[in-house]
Amino acid sequence: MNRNRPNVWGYFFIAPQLIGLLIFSLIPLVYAFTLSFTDWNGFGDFQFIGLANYIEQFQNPEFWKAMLNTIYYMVLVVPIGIFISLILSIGLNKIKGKEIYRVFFFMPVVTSSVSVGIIFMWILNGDFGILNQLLALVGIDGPMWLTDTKWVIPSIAILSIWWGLGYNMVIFLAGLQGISKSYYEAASIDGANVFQKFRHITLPLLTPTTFFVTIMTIISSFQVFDQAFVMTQGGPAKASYTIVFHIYEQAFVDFTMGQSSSAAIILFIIILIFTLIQFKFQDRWVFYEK
Amino acid sequence: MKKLPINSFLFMIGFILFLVGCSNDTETSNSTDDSGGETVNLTMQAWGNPEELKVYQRAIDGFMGENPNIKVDLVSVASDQYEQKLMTSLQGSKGPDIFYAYEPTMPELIDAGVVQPLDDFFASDESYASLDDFSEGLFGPARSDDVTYGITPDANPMVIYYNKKVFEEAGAKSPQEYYDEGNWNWDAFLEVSEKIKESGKTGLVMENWWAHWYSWVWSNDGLIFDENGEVVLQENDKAKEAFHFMHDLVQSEKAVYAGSLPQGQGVDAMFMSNQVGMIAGGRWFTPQFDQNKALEYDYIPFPTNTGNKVEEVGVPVAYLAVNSKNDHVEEAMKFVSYYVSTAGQEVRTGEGGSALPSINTINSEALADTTDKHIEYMFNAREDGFTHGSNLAKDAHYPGLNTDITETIDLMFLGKQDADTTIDKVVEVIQEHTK
Repeated sequence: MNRNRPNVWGYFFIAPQLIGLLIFSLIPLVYAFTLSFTDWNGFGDFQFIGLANYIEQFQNPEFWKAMLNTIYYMVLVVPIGIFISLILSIGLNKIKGKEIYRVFFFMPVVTSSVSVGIIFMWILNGDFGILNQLLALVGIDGPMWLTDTKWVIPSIAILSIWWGLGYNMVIFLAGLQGISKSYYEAASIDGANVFQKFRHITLPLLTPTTFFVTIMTIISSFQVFDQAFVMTQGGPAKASYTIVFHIYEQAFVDFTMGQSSSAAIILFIIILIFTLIQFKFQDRWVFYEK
Repeated sequence: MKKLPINSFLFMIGFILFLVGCSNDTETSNSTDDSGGETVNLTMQAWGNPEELKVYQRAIDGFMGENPNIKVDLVSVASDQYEQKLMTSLQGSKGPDIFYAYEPTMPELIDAGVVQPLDDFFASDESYASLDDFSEGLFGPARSDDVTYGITPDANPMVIYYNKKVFEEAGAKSPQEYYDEGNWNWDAFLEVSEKIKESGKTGLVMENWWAHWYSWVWSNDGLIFDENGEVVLQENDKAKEAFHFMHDLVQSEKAVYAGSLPQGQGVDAMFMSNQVGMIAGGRWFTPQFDQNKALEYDYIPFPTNTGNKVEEVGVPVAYLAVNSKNDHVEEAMKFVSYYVSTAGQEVRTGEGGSALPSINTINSEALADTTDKHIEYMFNAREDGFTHGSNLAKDAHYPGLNTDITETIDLMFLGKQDADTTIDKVVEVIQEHTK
């Protein structure tokens, strides 16, 4: 028998994923990297212009506006989203009829971002939206959520938190179920109360999951686009203009492919740095079961 | 670390080649038809709702009836992101042979050299139409250095639609009466809007896009860009006055801003449900309004503030262009000449059509419009109007500029910015893009 035979089947099974990665991720990445050093409008020959696109990008106020908007969005979505999904998953770990609740909370995740965006346009409409109607019942004059420059990012953040809740919750649930009951039993014998168990067993043993969820949420926050695209088109006055929106506009509205690619590469580097920093500091707060 | 065995590697390469081999090439091709002659297959890409596509197909069928060796397939692409899809497919050399393009897309396509010059073909005997049949103002950005790269298959000059029932209920004199007296001006417009507001309804739905702003500015003899395409808004008091007029209309609630209406509660819905007295637009509203038998409406030109009865308005159009990289350029141009010819236009713009013919000689009688509405106002506007990308509306020549102006004006209509700040910012973004 050929002793390499099992390897062949291994490669066969990973081939679709590998080919997908190659065609849809690695080749475009290298292509975008090359494009970022050119002046190209999509037609004709490339003209290499060195680092000019990167310099232009850093001097472009719209790039900084997009960056600030994205960071503001991230600051809202990451902690609040993670906190709520953690609390929900703990609640849903033991509650009666938990399967049904889990389905309810997970449902938004399988809905397309465009549909969710359109529904929220209705909910958040300042004049006729149901949210402001409900607020009016308790005497609050709701803001013009999507047309007020101050409220548009929080509005998109509300949508994203609701939309991403189910996904993070399922991951937290898996983490919770991976914690051995013996720790809680031992703690009960030592006389620990519910809060102490949560503080000294659940939270520390959930840190690897929290680490994963944090990284994923930060990456997806940097890439926020669909919601702003559907609901506000980056407006009003570019108040919801995010970094991916900037990449899109430069490529498909202004047709400056080189500049757009340089913005995409900068985003890639920022995400890489954020992720590396988190890995670097994980020793200080992430506890793995030995 | 184990090395990748050579047989595994070869296997993977083989698998990739197999997948690549399975992919399909969708290039246009020649094929042989039943009669033994060679058929040329062409694709035409357009946007449009199902009704509009049926109308396009009428002209395509007419052409294929006369040219059985040329087969044209209509490929419909949603209007949302149409431009992005078109440009991406042309960049990938997989573009359609013939396509509709928005006005701001034309300068891009001309610069990129992907659209076919049409002058020689249209001057030849092969052509079904002549370029002289079209008003000069309609070529706009499709003509560069006296070379024509695109032709508008129809035109949609802006007029005001007014709802007779809303006017009657408000006790306001009809715009037609003011017009007949020679008094359909801004003051009359404010007067009727105020009356409609007092009756609990809204005078106008204000929309935020180029054909609206320019029409209002031109109705005051103002200019954002001059005849040479130079920005002059900063020193043009008439244009500034028009910005203040638009701002005040919305802020005094004589007009409601379309950008603050919820989805589904659009301009047309408000008009049909008798909530609003007036809306501005081209003929695209007409087919839908005519289906609603309870709706009583008519057309009137934009009110002026110059003492003249009418002034120029924006004329939204689309261009039909030929992909210069297609294998059958001659056949494609022949098709375009038919599509934009009198025969091609009459079947598309006749009764139930959503645009006016762009050929000068086709007038309101040729449309067989049997209603008593004043459609001749649209025809008059066609003669004097300008398309987006004409020198007077030059912003369409600069990628992204129109979007930036729209965003700035959006803030004005939303009440976040006064008219003077808006004017300054519009000037600023124009200067930024045109420097």
